[in-house]
This record gives sequence, C-alpha cells and structure tokens, in this order.
Amino acid sequence: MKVSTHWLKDYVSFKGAPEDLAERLTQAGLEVKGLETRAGSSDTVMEIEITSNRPDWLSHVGVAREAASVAGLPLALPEFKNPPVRGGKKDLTVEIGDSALCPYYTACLLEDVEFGESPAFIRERLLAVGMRPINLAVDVTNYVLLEMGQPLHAFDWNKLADSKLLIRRARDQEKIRAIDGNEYALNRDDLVIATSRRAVAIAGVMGGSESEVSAGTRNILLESAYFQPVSVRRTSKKLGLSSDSSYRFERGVDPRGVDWGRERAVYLLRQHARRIGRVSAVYKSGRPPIKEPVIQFPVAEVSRILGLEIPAAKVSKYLRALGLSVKAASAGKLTVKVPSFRQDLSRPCDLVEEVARIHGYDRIPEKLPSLEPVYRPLPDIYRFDRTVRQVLTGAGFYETVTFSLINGKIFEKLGVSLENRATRIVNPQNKDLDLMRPGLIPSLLEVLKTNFYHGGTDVRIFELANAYGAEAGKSLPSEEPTLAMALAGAREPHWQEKGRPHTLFDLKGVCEALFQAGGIPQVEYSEISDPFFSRGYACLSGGQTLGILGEIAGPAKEHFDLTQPVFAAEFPLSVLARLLSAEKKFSPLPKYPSSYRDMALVLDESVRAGEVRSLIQSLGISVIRKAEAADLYRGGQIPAGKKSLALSIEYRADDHTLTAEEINRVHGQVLQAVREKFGAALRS
Amino acid sequence: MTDAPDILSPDAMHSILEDIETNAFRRIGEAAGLAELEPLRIEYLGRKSRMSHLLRSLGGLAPEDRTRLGARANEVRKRLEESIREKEAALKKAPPKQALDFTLPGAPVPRGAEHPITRTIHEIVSVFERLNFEWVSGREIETEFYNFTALNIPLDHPSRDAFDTFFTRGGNLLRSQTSTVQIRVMEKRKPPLRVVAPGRVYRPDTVDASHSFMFHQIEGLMVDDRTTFADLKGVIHLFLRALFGETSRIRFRPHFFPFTEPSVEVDVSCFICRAEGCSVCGQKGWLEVMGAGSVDPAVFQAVGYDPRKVQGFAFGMGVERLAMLRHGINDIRLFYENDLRFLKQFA
Repeated sequence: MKVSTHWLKDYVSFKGAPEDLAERLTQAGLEVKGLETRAGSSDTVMEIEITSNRPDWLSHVGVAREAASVAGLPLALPEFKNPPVRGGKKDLTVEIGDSALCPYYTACLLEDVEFGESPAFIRERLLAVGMRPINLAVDVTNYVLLEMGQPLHAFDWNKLADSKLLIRRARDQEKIRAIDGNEYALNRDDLVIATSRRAVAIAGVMGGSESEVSAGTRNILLESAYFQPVSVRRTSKKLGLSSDSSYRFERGVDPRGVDWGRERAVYLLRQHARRIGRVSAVYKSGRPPIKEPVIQFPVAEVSRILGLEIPAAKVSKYLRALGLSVKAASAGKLTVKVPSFRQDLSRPCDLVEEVARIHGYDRIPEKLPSLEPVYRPLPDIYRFDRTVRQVLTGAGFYETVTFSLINGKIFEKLGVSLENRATRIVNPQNKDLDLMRPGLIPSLLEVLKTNFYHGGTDVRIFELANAYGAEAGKSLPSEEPTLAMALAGAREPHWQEKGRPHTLFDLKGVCEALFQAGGIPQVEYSEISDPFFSRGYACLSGGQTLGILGEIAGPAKEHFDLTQPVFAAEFPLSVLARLLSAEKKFSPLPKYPSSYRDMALVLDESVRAGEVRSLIQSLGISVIRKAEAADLYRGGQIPAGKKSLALSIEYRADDHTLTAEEINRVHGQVLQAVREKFGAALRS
Repeated sequence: MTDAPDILSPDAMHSILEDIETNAFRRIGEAAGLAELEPLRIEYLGRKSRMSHLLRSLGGLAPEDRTRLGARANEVRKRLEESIREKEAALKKAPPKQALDFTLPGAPVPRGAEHPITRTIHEIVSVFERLNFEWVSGREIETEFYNFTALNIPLDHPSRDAFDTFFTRGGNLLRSQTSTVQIRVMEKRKPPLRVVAPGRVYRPDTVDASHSFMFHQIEGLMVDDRTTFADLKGVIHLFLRALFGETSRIRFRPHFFPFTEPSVEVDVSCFICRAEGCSVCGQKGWLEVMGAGSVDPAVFQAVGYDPRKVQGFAFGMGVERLAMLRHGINDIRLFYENDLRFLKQFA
C-alpha cells in the first residue's frame, strides 16, 4: 500500500525525515519497501507491505496510529461531525436479507448535489498514492477508504429507480455488469445489493455499472456497511475480481468505522460540493458486529515467551500506547480490553508480540539455549545417500536438481499407461507440467538434451529425489527417494589417449562401485523388457530387485532429440539402504603372493562370460581367487560364430607360496572343465 | 672381464695400470647415465676385476716390486674410486634429459560435483547439526491439514494468499512450505525437539529470474519447556554468522506468520556492499534472509501439546535465495536447467 507522508501528518505530528519514519515503521512491522518523491511535489510516498493480520493498517489513520504509538505522540482523528438532520425520505427502505453475510448496512441519501472536480488536496493525495481523481463524489469515497479504511459505495439514486434496497444472496446464474465493464455470473454463495428488480452491486466487491455515479448525477445514495470477510473473499476469488474494497472487507474492517466513514464522507461532500440540497437521516439495518474482547493477561507470559523481564507498569504503558485499555487485575495480571479495530488480538500470546514490538525486537537480548543433548541414530537412508554422493561424484557424475512436475507425454509415446499409477495436478502453473513424476529418467534425458544442445560431449549426471506413486482415493501417494543416473557421450580426450565413448559397461561399473561401497553382496543381472530401454537389466540381490539399468531405446531418445547412445539407471534408495551392511569386516591380508595365469578360450558366441565364471566357481577349488574376463576378441583367425575370451585367473594359497607345478595342475583342471562344458578350445 | 688364473707378473701389472690410466678415466668421464657407470665400476673395481686380481697378486712379488707397484696400484684404485664417486654424484644431480614439453595439459580427472542447492543445504544443516539439531525430512504431497489447518492458516483466510498452492486430483496438495514437517514431527515425538528439515516446496508462481514453481526451503524447529524468543535470536545470529561471516550484523523485524507469535523477519547486513547500499540489497544495506518466530500456541494445540507446558521457536529460509546471494547467481532458472557449464563452476 502507498502511504503519503504529508497526509499522515494530518493525524500525527511526526517531526523527523521520511527516512526516519520509514525506519521506525519497518522496525514496528510495517515494512517500508521503498520511498519515492513525485516530480513537482515535496511529498514522500512510502510503499508499505502490510501483513494480512493487520487490516487496521490499510489506511492513513491506521498507519498514523501505529506511528503515534511507537513515537509516543498523540493521534488526531479526522473531523466527521455533521449537523443533525430532520428525517429520511419516507419511501426508501433498506433491508438485510442475510444477516450472516451482512450484519450491518447503512445508507444516506444526498439530494441535489452539484459537484465537479475535487479540491486540490484530495486530488493531489489520490495521485500521490496512485489513484486517478474522477469527480468529487467518487473521489470522496476513495479518499475516505484510504483515510479511514472503510470502503464506501456511491449509487446514482435516480438510476436505481427503486426505493427499496435488499441485501440478499444472489440467485443462481444471476448476472450483473460491474463498473469494470465486465459481466459476472453469480450464484447462491454471493451477496448482492439489489433493488426489487435486480442486483445493483456485488456486495463489498464492486458496484454495478448501471447505477454508477457520473458527472451528471444529482442524487447520491452513499452506502457504508460491514460485509462478512469470508463471503467477500470467496466471491472475489471466484470471480477473479479484486478491488480496494474487497481487499479490506475480506481482511475485516473496523465495525465502528462503518458509521465514522460514512459521516466523514458526508462531511467532505458538504464541505467541498458546489451545492448540496437535503441530506437524509441514515437508513440502517442490522447492528455493527463489534467485538472488543477482554484478555486476562498474566504479565509473566512476557518473560516466559520472550526471555526478558519487563515490569508490569511498562507492559501496561506499551499496550495503552496501542489504544488498548489496560487495568491491573490481581497481582501480576492485567485485564486488557481490545478495541474494535484490532481484531487480530484475542490471546495473551498476541499481547506478548505487541509488547515485544513496542519494546523493540532489537532490545530483546540474544541468548544461547541451554541444551539437553538429544541423540537419535542416523537412518540408513541418510547414510546411503552420503555413500551414493561420494561414489558418483568420484566417478565424475554431476548432481542435477530437476522439477518433480513433468510432462507426461513421453509415457504416452512409449505406450506406458499412467492411469491410476501416478498423481496429477489440477492447477499446474505450466499446463504441460502436471504429472508428479513416477520416475526420474525422463527428467535426466531432458538434462542430456539441454547439455548436448549446448555442445556438451561428456555428460554424466545423477539425481536423488522422490518418485511419486498414485493417490488411492484421498490417501496420500507413495514418495520413494530414488537415485537415477544417466551418461552419454565420450570421455574427455587427451593428447595421450583418445576419448573413449561411454558404454553400458561404464554404467554397470558405476553400479558395481555403488554396490561395493554399500557392502551389497552378490548382485546378479537379469534381462528385462522396459519401453525406456532397448537393452534393460534388473539388478537382483538375494531375490530382491535393487533397480534397473540399460541403454535407452530409440523412441525415448527421439523424444528428447538425442542421437548418441544413452545409458541410464534407476534405483529406489529404500531397497538399497535396507541391504546396506552396517559394518565392513576386515580380512587379514594374504601372507603369500598370488600368481596370475591367462587362459585364452575360443567359445561359441552363445556362451556368456558369467557362465564360464560360474562354472569355475562351481569347481570349488580354493586356490582360485578370481577368474575374470581380461579380453574379448572376434574376427581374425577366430571362426565366425565364435569369440575369443581371455580369462585372467588369480591363484593363491593361504599357507604357502604356490609352486608352478601346483598352478599348472589346477589351471589344467579349469581348462578341462571349460572344454567339457562349453566345448572350448585354447586359442593358439 | 678376466678370470684370475694365477699370479700376475710385474710387467703384466704395469700394463694393466697403463690401460686403466689411458682408458678407464676416459670411459668414466664419458658415461652418460648411472646405467652406464655401474658396469664400469664392476669392470674396474669389482671382485673379479683386473685391479682386484692385481692387488691380490702383490703378495707374490719381490719386496721392492711389491712396494713400488703396490703404492702405484693403490693410488690408481683410489683415484678410480674417487672418479666414479664424483661421476655418480654428478649424474645423480643432473640426470640426462629427454626433451619434455611440460606445457602440455595434465590428464583430465573426471570430477563430479553436488548441485549448488545440495551444497547449500548441507552447509546450512551442518551448522545446525553442530547445535544438536537433527536432519529430518517430510512428505511433499500433503493434506490440507498439514499444510494449512494445523499451521493455523484457516480456510478462506487472507493469510492463505501468501501460500498459493498446487492441488492434486485426489484432493491433496503439494506442500507450499516445509513448515508441514513441524506438524509431522511433533505428532510423532515428544519434546525436547530440535530438527531441521530441508526439502522441495511448490507454489504456482510464474517462472522468472527470481521465481520458480518449485524451490527448496529449510525449516527448523526447537521445542522444549524453556526456549524463548531470546534463544531464537541467539541461535539465528550464530547461524547467520557461520553462513555469512563473523562480522555480519543481523536485524530482527516484526512480521506476521500464522504459525508463529511473535513472528520475525531476519535481515543480514549486505555482505556485497558491506551495508553501504548496492543493487543486490536494493540500496538498503540489508538482505532479507529468513522468517522465524515463537511457535504459536494454536500449532501446539493442533498436535496435542499443552501450550502452557511447551514453548520454542521455528524458522524457515529459502535455499535458492541463499545460494544465489552467496554465489552471486542472478537467475534462479540456472539451478533447474542443470547445464554442466553451470554445475562445473561448483565442482
């Protein structure tokens, strides 16, 4: 809200510079976001952020009241005393049809008013706070709203063409054209001001254009009322129509201000209209819903909550400065009566905050709490999260943070139905991003796309974030902390070696490093069919699926404009964390050296390295420590349909150094077994 | 190399010494590396060398020959030893060089990195962990109760305006602030509680350089039977000094949050312009960095705590904002694009 410092000075005689005032208001909780001076004016206008709990600050008098409290200055309220009037025009009636939504409605008829431009001070002040002056009738309603916080509405009495006003709920599909020129369809939840024939205003939100005051208006019906905040807010939200009036009504105006505001407007019109005829008595319906609660306030609450002793006398002084009436009750207790404009105060803790504000937050001492130590073990998932980050950043992977809301088109394209399998947003900010992602791989593919577009050549990325399940009825969907990785491109080339392209085995190697770091033993891989993968594998340990990895299939790559081979993996963390070994056990270092022997086998293409490895394991020969593929070769002297697999076998005994003869014998056994099982030949 | 057949004659000895004088010193001088020097040492001074043979043969000579040749041989041997030692030292000092262009780049070491958001979260959490706060996490898809009702944000209340919210088809919502975790934790546990909860939050904001519909917050909560607003000030000041430097000044301003009373917004003196006024702090010299306050009794009631017996404070901060301030990042969208050229700057 914009506040003019000149205007404020009508009510509080603040002496200092506008900057000092801004600083004091900010320290009191009215955050002054900026100060500006309009060209050709000595007035400084403050832009103040007003929190939703303080509707009483939404006016110059309200801000002045706060300034007076913090500076200990008197507050002068504007003049609104009018001469008594003789009586109303007999045939006008005002009736409230729904007292819950409108507890109090008043109106006053001003006849034969001749008005033109507003006086200079009104025009200037309106301009200063960003409002365009129109004519005296309209300007006065705006002026009073900005001055006292009470929204008013002026009808052209002749255009109403009825002498009966009813404040009622709208009918379903009832339409009204508002002053902004738009037509709004209302329903039973909305409140309107209506004549016997039609709605003439959306209560508290905006008047109708038909009865709008214009330069030619001579008879003005001035409305001042209290509308129920929730109802105004609902209507305003539903219609997407917000006004200075609705903004104040939905926060709650001062019920006492209804009469003050109306009288202030009548006063200003009487003062500044060129001519004014009869002013009616006030037509009233209902009663202002004045709530002025009495709070029993134990002063000890101040020190309990703030950690600072403030004597009762001082507490009373602070509260009185805010316009609260304070009486000492029993020892250590105050009886505090809250004025109608402070609807935010109802509990002792609310008063503690007021005391803290006026005392000054900066004068509350800083302490360090006396801590009772609390110990809770670190959950496995946090431990594993750290392990994952270490392994992956060590392997050259960069962590990404991508949106949890994604575009579901990729799933459609791959023929994956998400019906009842994912959570969707009804009001997405970007209408394409309405799916709570069931997995992280699409997001990583999007990141690959971005990076290759920007000329990336070696892209290794991972993300740790939730994957979301489906809502079953109203129940909350699952949120599964998930690790996903992707890589594409080639290693960075160097003058000593060319940049080798990444392969699926680079990704498999990273997965293996992860399992090893987590102490997860014996992982096996089984081929799976997954629309994201052209070759996909599940990682299994002890019968549990740890996750999946594979090479991304053409259609998925195409969707993200990717042309190079792309590899990706995804693991739900909870499964990995469950298998995480608590401790790693030490095994004594070997006392005797290992010997390595190679064995170059010529095998049928169909024989897999894992089968050879399993066979060798199954021989149960204790001195064989490891038998791994060292080279794989095709072509040359190797016949078609065959491949050459070189094994490197490590031999070691625990109790002596193996002799050449011993090794030869065992090596022969291995060869024998491989020959028998797979028809392998030794490569010459 | 010579075998040692028998006793050498004085003449043979003489010619050996002559040969050494003419060749050995030259060859030692010419040796280009330690690898060449060692064979020379063996050849001339080794156990099977002619010199050793000669020295062993001295005993069989006539006394006058023995004295003369012995003195000469020992003198030559000494000089040989010295010469080899010197050469060895010289070679060790300045090994022969192959031309090496050391301006060529070193081999690349693949080095990944955590995302700057994660790094910032870890840094912030670690400060609180040193104060015995515990890292907890909460749900992202939440119910009305945890996001609003229990946090004293009633339906149809203007205080909701600060929390525009995404809703799901099933009638749940995406949490608009991590304060939801306060409720989740207090429902499950009894005081004393000291937790920090980092996580993703969602608000349907239009995306621009400083707004995103998803961002990160860190919530903190400390509840026991004695913690006051003065403790809040102490802890927050300590934290901000740890994050922004020991000389940082802190300003506490009254504010409004539905779930705290009293509520406060915390500013830190601008570390970019040293509080003189710059574009980052909007010429104010202060940077708004977090919100906090004493937990509102209504929140305690919502989780079944007795507000007369427990008290404490809560705080919350935006991770992106802090990361942007600290690293001088001018566009929030960079965090979510994950361009490696951006991410590598934090490796």
